[in-house]
Amino acid sequence: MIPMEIFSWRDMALPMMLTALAFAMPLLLAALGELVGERAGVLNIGLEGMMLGGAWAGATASFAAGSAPLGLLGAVAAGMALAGVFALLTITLKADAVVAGTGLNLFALGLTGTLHRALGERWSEVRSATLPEWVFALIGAVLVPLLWWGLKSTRPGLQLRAVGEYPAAADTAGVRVSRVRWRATLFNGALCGLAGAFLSMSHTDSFGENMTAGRGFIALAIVIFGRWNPWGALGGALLFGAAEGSQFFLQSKIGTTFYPLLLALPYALTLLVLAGFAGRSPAPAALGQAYER
Amino acid sequence: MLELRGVTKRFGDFTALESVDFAIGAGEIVGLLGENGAGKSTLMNLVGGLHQPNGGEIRWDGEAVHLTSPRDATARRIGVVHQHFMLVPVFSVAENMALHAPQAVAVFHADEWAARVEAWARALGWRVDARRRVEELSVGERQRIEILKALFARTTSQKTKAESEAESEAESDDADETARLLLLDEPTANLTPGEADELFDVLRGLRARGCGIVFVSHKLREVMALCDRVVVLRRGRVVGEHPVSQTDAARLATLMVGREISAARPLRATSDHAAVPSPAEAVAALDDAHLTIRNLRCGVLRDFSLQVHGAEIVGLAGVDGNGQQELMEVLGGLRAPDAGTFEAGEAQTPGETANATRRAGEASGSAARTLSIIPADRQSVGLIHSFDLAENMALSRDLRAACRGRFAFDWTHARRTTRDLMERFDVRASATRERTPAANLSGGNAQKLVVARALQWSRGAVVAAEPTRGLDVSAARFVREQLRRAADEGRAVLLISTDLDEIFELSDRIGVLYEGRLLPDENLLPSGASRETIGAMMGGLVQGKGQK
Repeated sequence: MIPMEIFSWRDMALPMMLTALAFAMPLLLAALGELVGERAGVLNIGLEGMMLGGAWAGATASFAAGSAPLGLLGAVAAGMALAGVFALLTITLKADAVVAGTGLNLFALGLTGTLHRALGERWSEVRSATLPEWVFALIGAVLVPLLWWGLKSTRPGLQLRAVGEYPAAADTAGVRVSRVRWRATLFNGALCGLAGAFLSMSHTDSFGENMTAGRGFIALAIVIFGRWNPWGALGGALLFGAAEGSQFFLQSKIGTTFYPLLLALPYALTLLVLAGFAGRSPAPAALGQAYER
Repeated sequence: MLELRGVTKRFGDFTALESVDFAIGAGEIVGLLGENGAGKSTLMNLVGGLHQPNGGEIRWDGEAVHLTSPRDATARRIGVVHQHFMLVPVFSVAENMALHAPQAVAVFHADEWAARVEAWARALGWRVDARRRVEELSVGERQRIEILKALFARTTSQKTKAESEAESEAESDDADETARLLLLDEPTANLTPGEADELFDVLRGLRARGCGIVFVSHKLREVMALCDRVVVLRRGRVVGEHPVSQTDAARLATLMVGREISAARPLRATSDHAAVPSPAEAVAALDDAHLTIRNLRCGVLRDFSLQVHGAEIVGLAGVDGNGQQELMEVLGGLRAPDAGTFEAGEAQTPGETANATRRAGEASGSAARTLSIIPADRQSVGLIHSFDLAENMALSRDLRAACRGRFAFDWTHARRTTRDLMERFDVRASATRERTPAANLSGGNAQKLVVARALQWSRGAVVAAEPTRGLDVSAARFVREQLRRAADEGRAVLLISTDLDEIFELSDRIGVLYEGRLLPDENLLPSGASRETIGAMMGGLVQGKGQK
């Protein structure tokens, strides 16, 4: 434990902010993906699963190909593949979104865990080719204003929002409701894959079983906290990132006795946000509803 | 221009349209008349591209076409105004319009679109603020937006070669972008008579410009006033087609229903007791059955006072959104008013006076208990869809009380009672009878059940909101007769309806709800008041006497 005298807030401010930023990255990417999906009316609670898929595929592909960009590509493809399964179930076959999302989480957890162990026996140690964290930060920094403007002021954005608010009106306006929802869901999968890749290819250099540890659900809460607005999602991601990152610094201040409580901080915050914001939020009117003519 | 030949449409086992022939040319207004379920909307949806026919063909400009999506319809400049608003409530008017923009337009410029939409509106003589959100607009304004949209909405499809050629021709002249055929599904359902007349003027103007218009309605008067030709549908078949000049409302009504209906016989009380002085006891007895509302303030409602006596039906006309919903919610006990009180009494059978008076007195504390409510929205408030009919009936406090067994709820009794009621009120369900889920009932049968439940057990005042909305002629007739019977039993009946014909048919006295106030004043209008007077009050053109 660090002696108290050498711990000073002034010296810690910068590292703390960087840590918060690092923890915010995967949350932001996944939340932006989910935000786009939800604005199109698709409620996908399978973020966790898609992130895990991305994390595993990123680590494995980058190790196998020896190339970080190829690993990133693999992570995006894995996220999209899992999103495609979800889209097939809920949009095309009109299954219940909550059941399908839960299924996706459990399926991805089991699948990545099994594959990880199987590969671990063969290759002994899978080490990812890594990317610097700023790559992901850059993607997030570009996406926030782009999505904000795109949703507000472009025709595809207009169509996407119409599909999420009142699909029948969009349909009669000539918008292909299912196609828009499919695309939004795949976009969500791609971003969740990226978020997962950040965990296994940048934040650490290997995949670990269930390494997302509930971050998908936190991202889900961030969408609500951010009131379905990309800037709001950015704010939410930074707040939760700070909550998650601060435990490492506070741990040194308050000692190990209360450490488990600190670990619970982001999750407690999630509960608070869901309880406080969910009730009076401007959620898309057709969120989670299958559309049939 | 448009021609349907032998078109058949089936949904599962149900045949919605059977070898229907229909044609319309440019510069013609054709009325499509029929009861609910006659196939009017199905026909609209086939032409609008939402559904595809199972047989027959649709021809457009002499060529057989397959309209597989709304895009195909708009590409051929067919505009549709659906029965339900197809506007995104949280979008601005301009955003709603831009939704229809051609694919090539990638960026949405709010100002540009607002100017464009306002120019379109001006062309029809309307003023529209295109920056406002649709949810802030009145129902009449939304209807206008729908018509603007149908007229000016452009294709968004990736065009086939032939289409894009036709399109580029059209693009050369802005006026040619407008719809050539306009389909309107019950467009006057939410309009005041004045607004409807305005709409008719606009439609006549479009006809003069060569636009073909299909006008779907079950209001005979409107069809007679507007259309050149009428096509009558019954149970998915065309049962008659006449130029309006060679037919009359009575004949069309008979065609529509398939038998003579006495549409003209009013259901009003034979003598106007409110005006005729009665013996003191009789008045007292009637007043026990009253419904009195004093200075109610809630939402839009501003110091709303109204007294309905026993044995009379008071009709409350008005356009939706002027306080009807608040009034229903307060009377139904769903919402506490900001100020004001109301009380309701029960009609008595002779010899029971003292007892009943006391009960009425107790009831004034929670008048909702003695009120029988027939809610406007039977879909969401009236019935629980996944419950079967007996379960729905058991939602009534009175039936529950009757079924209180020693240990458990007496379902046998509840089911028997429901069966009896279904017979008496002519509720037709499938072979499973009282075990049928409410979701499987047709609109008319569902409403009969709601009415039966409201009227059967209590003797208190009745409040009915839009009791016949969306019902076909015979079901509506039945419901109205039940309301009249309730009044004949001495109960006070308050009828809240946006359907003026219904108000005139049933009411002994008539009031108008406008911006939360009662017009003309607490004395209301006699049943013989003119349609124009009431229409003017509904539109806010006439202020009542003694308004502050």
